[in-house]
Amino acid sequence: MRTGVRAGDHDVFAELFDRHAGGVYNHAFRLTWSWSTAEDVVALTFLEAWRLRHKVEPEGGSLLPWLLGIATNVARNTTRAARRYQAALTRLHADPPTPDFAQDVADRVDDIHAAAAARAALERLRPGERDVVALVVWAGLDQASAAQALGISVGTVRSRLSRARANLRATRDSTAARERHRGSGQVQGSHTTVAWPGQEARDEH
Amino acid sequence: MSTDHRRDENTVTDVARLLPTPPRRDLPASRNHAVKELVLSEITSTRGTVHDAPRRRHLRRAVLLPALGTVVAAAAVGVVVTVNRPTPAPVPPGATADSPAVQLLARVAAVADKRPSPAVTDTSYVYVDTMQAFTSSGATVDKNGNLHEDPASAGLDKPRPRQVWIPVANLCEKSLLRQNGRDLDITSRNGSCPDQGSLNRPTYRLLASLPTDPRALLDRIYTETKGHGSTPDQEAFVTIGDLLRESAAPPGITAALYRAAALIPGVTSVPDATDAAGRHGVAVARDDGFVRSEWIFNAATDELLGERDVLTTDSPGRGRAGDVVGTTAIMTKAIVAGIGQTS
Repeated sequence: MRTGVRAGDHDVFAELFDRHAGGVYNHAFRLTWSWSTAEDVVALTFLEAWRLRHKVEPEGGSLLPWLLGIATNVARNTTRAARRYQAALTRLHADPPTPDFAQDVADRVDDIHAAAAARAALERLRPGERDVVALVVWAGLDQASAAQALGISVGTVRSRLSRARANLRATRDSTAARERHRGSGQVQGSHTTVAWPGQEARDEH
Repeated sequence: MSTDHRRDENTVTDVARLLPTPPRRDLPASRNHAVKELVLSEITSTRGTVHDAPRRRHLRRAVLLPALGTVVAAAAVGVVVTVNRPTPAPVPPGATADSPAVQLLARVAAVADKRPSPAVTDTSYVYVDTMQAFTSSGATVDKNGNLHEDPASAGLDKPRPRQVWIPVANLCEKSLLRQNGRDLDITSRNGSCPDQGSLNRPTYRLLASLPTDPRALLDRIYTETKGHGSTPDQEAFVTIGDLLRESAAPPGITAALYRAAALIPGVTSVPDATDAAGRHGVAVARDDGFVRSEWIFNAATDELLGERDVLTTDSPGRGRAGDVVGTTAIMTKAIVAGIGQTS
């Protein structure tokens, strides 16, 4: 896979798309909170990946961390990335919305609430912490892969995660305190295991 | 090490537990198909250059950047020129104090500085009306997903009108892009609110907060664009170009942007350039080794007319040296009271 991508083999690149478009799409959603922007980010990510393919090391594991790193940059910088590929995006948007898409939107009202809650929680974190959380917690990358994807050290990933945890705990505790004050107090310290996404990375194995 | 590992796992589990789980979904099949087709057709326009000898690597990378057509970028707001910013290229000799480019920038800065400040409130909008055209890719995809290359169809599209309305103070307010007869909601959904934007997508208020000292301003631009683009100098030049095009700033800041550009090494001048509306002018330019980006000014009034991107190297699938691959004309720029208003 790596060698093929590096060499610019179109068939291999198509396979790369099939394998990871879904993972990139969901990651992009968690960075932009819009499914249609996420679609743009998928297109831009693979176009950027093609442009940057010579940077792929011949040896190594899944290319997903690399793609998610590109997606992170693209999502943070949609304007600049989009300028490179604006004609391409024009064509993408020229396609009329299809029935399955419209249906999908109607089916997903619950999703909107779930997304709003996740987004609100994430936005209490600093931007650098958000990137790490999105990759490690939601996309399921290990910390070394996340470090590589973001171009930062594993130590930085680790410390951002710790800070994120501290921030989230502080928020939880103050929310819990408020809840108790209102006499409902059920929030705190529920230790049920919550499933989190992380599906992209696990699909690999 | 394994203690570390366990501790890390715990942190991840804790964070996961503390956060609500965002929804997941599959890319709808038809959209998946559209996106995949698009990606494959774009990369195919570079086919044939892929296995070239290493010495052509730089050229090849240039080709890979879009040759693509029409104007738009739904996700994008303030930006539009298809500028290639690939690998480092030989930098032209630095501009000197007397160079025509530096003189021209000093003149346009002085003119910009004298303009009256617009009346702006927090609920105002920046309205920019432009004409833009870009080179189309020659490749098309048929309904069976097969790719066809048609070099003859590559060429500059007809300029098309494009209008944007961007909130003056807060990108969380609605933004609109109108183009090819359709309205596109381009409201920012990336950040926390309120959001003044960044140098990549600035509001008027953000620009107003920048330093007016050209050196300080340029330093800020270098810092914020670090790691992007072909070279720091080219990225700084292109970033200033972006800021001049589809955003508005107080006169003192616009002047400072011109003065900052004069400090970038390798800035040159072009005696005659034409914008997307066919208006002639003199240009300030910078060449990254593949494409020369030009900002075109009215020679009599020193006002910014538009922009043009010209290939400076033959670029298979895209054009020959000298071909125009992107062009913009700024028709109107105004502070207006609301979306849809033009004055």
